[in-house]
Amino acid sequence: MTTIAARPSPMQWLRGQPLVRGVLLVGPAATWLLLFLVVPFVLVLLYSFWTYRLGGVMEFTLTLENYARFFSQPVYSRILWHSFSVGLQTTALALALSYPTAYYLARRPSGSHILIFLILVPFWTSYLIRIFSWMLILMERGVLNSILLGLGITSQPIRLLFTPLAVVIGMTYSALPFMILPIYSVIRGINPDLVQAAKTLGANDLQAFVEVTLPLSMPGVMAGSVIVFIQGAGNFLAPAILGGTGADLMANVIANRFLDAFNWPFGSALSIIFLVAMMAFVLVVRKWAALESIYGPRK
Amino acid sequence: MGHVSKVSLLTNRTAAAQGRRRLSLPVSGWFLRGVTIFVYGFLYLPIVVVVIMSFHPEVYLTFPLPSYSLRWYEELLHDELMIRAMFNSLWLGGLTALLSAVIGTPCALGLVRLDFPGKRLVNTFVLAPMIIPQIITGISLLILLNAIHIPRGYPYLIIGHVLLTLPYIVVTVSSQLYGFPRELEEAALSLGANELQTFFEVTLPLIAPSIFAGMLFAFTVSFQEFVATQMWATPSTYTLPIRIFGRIRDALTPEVNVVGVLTIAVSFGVVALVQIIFRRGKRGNVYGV
Repeated sequence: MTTIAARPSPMQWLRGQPLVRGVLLVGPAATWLLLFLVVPFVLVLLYSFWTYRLGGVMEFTLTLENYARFFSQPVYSRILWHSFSVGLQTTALALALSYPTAYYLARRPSGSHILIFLILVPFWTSYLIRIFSWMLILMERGVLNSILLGLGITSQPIRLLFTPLAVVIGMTYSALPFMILPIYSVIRGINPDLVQAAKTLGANDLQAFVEVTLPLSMPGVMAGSVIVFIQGAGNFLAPAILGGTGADLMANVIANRFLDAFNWPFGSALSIIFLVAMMAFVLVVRKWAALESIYGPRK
Repeated sequence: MGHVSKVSLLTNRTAAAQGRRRLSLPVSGWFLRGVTIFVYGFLYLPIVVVVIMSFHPEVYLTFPLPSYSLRWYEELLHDELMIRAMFNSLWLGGLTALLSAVIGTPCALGLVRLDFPGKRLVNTFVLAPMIIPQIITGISLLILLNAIHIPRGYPYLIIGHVLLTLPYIVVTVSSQLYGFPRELEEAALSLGANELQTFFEVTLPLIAPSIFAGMLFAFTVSFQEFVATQMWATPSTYTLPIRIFGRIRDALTPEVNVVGVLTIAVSFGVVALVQIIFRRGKRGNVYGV
């Protein structure tokens, strides 16, 4: 992919120049990331300290106004808290469904290639369409209500759509592959002899699971949980489509500052606060989760 | 020594088999199987519902359907805005995949094969667009390009979509490069080929399946991206997801399901293609890999 002519002498020279080769190979991608990801991010940081005047005019005078606004108006910290809470609920629910599934798939004697493939397929179909489909399932005259009514479980349609529960269901649904796959691959990597050894030493199935498999599978649980939490807390579409009014999370509020309110400095401050809060949370949890090592050293 | 290792191998294998089988009690076995079946149902229910609902005969969506009709399939044929958005998304996805592969493939090569200062940093940043919430990527690029007075539209979409899909190319290509048979390249070099010839005659053909698979992933990601794209598109450059979202919000009709069926078909096609490529790739590895 280099553009140097195929003459032997420069090629030979290049062979002894790992840095030059690195720049030639990685340079384009690194430049792209620098220009369109890192530099813009610095700009967001800058904007968050700029002054906003009504009518979408910005003044390039430094101010802490945008951050002060976040902390003085409780509605924003409530939305931040709400985003975290929805992210955590999604993570918990996804974990509860994913762990048994991943365990089952990993311990199937006959292998699970096709089953794993089937978990990945929905992930590649449009996220928007799948979230939209949950609207059809949960709405008043939707799939779920008609089944519940048909089975006589309820006598009246239940209000499911445009509730906080609907948002968590939609997010959990889309989170499953991200939770199942890391747990699956970690459990598959656990040597069954270890479980066998625990049983030989007198542990029953449950004890062997709790003492051996569960602690050894924690890296997969953590990896999946971090991704699912970030995706849940930063989700835009599920609250926008399934949540109704007042369900907005941080992503919706930020989008709104840029698309409708045109208050870019405040939107930037919200983005920075959101990112910092999320990073801090993930780091703290990871640190805290290192406590899992009380189960003993592991490779 | 020989027979000792054979014996221990044998016991290992039976222990492993027993371990796997004995891991589940009858009760926990039923529990695990039950949850797994539920999860698969959960995963596919929305896809099935979209397909069924696309045959709804009326304007308002209800379930069960009063009857089945192809009415909304026909309506879609006359929906110029939706069709334009679809073609827009198709070519944007194609261009994105191409650019992403051109930038991402050498990057994967460099990251897997070379050691250079800053490598870990690049490694982290390459994956970042996959992890950072898309809304943040969306507003960041909006702020940058707006600051240098580029009007919203295609420049934003192309730059942004390449940024968002780059990780998929790099990850897919690197994963094949890790198990790459370097002997083949050494053979080519020792037979007198220079490095460029070796790359184009040996390396590239062997990693082509993963590049193509990465491109298909990149296409899929670009084709369905909504959150960041809403920050970058203008009505004349609306992509399919933006148009669909607008319909869901403003004028929801079963036509949205028809579009959904089409996008699901596109994704299934892509996934099937990836499967075929990797099968081919494996068969092609008969040359002693």
